[in-house]
Amino acid sequence: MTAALLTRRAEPAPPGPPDPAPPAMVAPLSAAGRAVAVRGLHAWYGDAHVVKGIDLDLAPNAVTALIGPSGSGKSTVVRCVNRMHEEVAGARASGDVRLDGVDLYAQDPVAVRRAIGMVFQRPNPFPSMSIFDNVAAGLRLTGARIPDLAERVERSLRGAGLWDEVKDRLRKAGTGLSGGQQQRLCIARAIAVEPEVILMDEPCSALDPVATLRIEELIEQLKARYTIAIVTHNMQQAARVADTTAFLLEGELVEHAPTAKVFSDPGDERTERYVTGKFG
Amino acid sequence: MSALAAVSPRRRRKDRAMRAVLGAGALVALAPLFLILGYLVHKGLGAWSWHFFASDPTGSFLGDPGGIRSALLGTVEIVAMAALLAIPAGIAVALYLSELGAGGRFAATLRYLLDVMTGVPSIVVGLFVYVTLVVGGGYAAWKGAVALAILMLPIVARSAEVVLGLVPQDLREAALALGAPRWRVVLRVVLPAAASGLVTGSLLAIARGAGETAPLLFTAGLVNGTTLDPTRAMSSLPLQIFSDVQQAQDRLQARAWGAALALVALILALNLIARLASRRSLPA
Repeated sequence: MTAALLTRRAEPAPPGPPDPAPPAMVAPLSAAGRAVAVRGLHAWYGDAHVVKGIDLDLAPNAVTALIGPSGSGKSTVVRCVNRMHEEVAGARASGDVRLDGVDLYAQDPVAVRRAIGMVFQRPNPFPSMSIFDNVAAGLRLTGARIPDLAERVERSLRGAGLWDEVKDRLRKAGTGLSGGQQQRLCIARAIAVEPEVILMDEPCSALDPVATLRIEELIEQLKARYTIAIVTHNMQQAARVADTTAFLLEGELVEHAPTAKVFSDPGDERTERYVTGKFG
Repeated sequence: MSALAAVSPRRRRKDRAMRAVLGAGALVALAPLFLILGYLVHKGLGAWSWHFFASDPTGSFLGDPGGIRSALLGTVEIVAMAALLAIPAGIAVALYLSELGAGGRFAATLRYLLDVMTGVPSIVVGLFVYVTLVVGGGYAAWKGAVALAILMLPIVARSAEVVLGLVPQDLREAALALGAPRWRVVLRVVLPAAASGLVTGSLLAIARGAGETAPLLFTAGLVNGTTLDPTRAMSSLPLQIFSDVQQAQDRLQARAWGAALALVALILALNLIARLASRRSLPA
């Protein structure tokens, strides 16, 4: 059962009449997102103990923001959720991370990452691939045969709000787009594999305010279908997009509460000092 | 007067002098290249003719000495075999160093050994192949190819490692985060991103291999007739040149120059072709 939960999406569609839904519409996927539960998470880079026992819940169909000063471990926490942390030489983690009750550290990391997508700080489209191939990359890289590839690429680009801008140049290099378009391309690439959860590690820190706004609107739409965690340095951004906000400090979770409460009536003095700009 | 302070004449003079020195340095570096190429064209072009490329050496002492067909085809075949051995193996070693071993002690040792291997004199490599493969079996083209491959391997591996190291870590992470297995990340993302650099490094190795004489001397041998059978002795351009310049007859000396020019032209053509190919492979 546990394995089935993770691999469900990777299985080929059962034979039958083709889906009559027109590709122009964003086809609804499972409306119910999935919950991520982190318990007692510790993480190290070599001897540096950067995450010190964190419990954190990512609620389904909600945006959870992780805020905190540099070095507080926010990025490391999300990288532990999709097991990207262990890809860094000398890095290790301990603790319990579950997706709807499934222990992610008992699964193949490849399966975990198919279920939990990620968008990085700097837009990183594959330079050797066209726009189309970039979006298709996730599907092709998983090795599955995709009969309706073009349709899914279009659906993903529409989902990322990029379709109208790139539909006439799908064969051009992805690196020829502007920074904000590249980041939306990366989001399209992430949602093309139809994950359950999307982790965003400072997705707007390399973008201008207009591009940032577009990504934030996109996050608002994506939340209907995905569970989203966003790491951000920008507290206004957290206030704008997040349902709940977690404040981390020196590898520990100081508090995690509804965003309005964190910014107006924080339960901890350190949170208050951080969100009012007294330190960090 | 303007508000900006005038540049002193002393400083201008110094600037001009330094420019002249650096320009002269560039000329000194380029001069031997053009002298060699110019002399080669001057001496070699006269030997070129259809007959020169289309006939084998006759071995006749007085009459028509024949051309370089066997040596030209031999070089192409031996170097191609060596490249088929050395380039995949070298890139595999580089992938191990950059993608798997990275900072480990074994990788550091391997890197050091590759550097040592680059410095091994080519005649020693030839001797090694002679002792292990040729003794008791006789000369064969594939044995020459093995010797060349041993010389080319460290060049391919070290240059490929550098190029693979230049592929941004972001790209590997992006692909891994999509749920791609590591081998597929390497095959579909890392290698394509590094492709043009890998081609350049491989070309350097091929150019090096094509010009080697010593390792072929007692592995592939020198024969007159054209053969494409890799299990038989096979001529090559460097050996043909080596043999011809030692002869007293002007006709053979001229053939040596013509063959030398052909060898240089071959390497140049290879470079151009691969450069065009790697440029075309990138999406516009």
